[in-house]
Amino acid sequence: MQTIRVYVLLALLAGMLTGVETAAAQTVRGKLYQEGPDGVRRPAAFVNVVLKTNDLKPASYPVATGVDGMYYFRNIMPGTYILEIQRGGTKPLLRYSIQVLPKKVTNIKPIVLPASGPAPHVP
Amino acid sequence: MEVKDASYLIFLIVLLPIIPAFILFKFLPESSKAEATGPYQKLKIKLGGAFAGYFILTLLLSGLLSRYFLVVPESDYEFWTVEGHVDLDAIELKPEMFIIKPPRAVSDGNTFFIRSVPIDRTQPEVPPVITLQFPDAIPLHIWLKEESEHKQTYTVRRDEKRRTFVVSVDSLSIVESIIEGDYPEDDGVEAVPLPLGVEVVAPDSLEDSGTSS
Repeated sequence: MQTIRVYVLLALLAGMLTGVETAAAQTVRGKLYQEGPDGVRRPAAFVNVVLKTNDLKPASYPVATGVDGMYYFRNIMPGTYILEIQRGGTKPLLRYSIQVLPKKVTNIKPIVLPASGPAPHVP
Repeated sequence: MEVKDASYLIFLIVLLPIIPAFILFKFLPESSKAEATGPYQKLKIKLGGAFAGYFILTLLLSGLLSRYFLVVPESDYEFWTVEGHVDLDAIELKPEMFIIKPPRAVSDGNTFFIRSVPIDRTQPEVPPVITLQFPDAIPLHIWLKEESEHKQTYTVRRDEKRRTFVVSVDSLSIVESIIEGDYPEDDGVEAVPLPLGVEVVAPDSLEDSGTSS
């Protein structure tokens, strides 16, 4: 019986050392595109993005997309969240439900903003 | 503008100047000894009689009136400098390897300067943000305010005398934010659109999860 316990402990330890993913804080990243009047998609720069819990409470500090349209959230626990894309100050324009996976980095598929999407906001 | 208002305007423009004109011509006729001579705006002035009086009166009044009526409105913005320091030697990065938005005006090794950053005095609760972008690392957004929730990553000090924000960035946090691997556009978690204004009922609410960015 004691031998089994030792094997179980060893297996757990090996799992930890070989990088079995646990429910640690993750990085979430994604990209925003803006559809132009010509129908061409371009990276949407300086758009405010907010991550909220399902009851619309802030889950992170708001971020803005870079010139490449990328946004990042750090130290997010795995689970279901609401991704809010805001126009100007704090007015939500679009809302999405996203799943943060128990991985080091969760990549969210690109989101295309409509032609009348949020105006670029220069910080 | 209503007719009534327009009549007042006509009265002001046409009739009101007649009063000083009458006084000037009454007391300073052409034959009087009133005279205004001398240089004015690089011109030699030699005026006499009522017109000399009118000229002097105009100069006096324009100085007085401009002081009271032509007040330049104070701008809502004041311009500050941002002086930042990143210990790049500690993380083996060269200064030219990072980008600052808005573009840095001057950079001296580990220190960067951004001149003329507009600060909206009417909205102190919305501080301006600068972004440091290092290769492969998550862009670092720096809110230009002293009370920050990101003190482990960077600190901001307001120097009122120099009108300068002094920013110090922890280089270790930049190393920690480096992500290996490119962003795969075709492979990732789908973002499911939600209607606006509808609160989502959450079976797995993440309240008190202690998450932060």
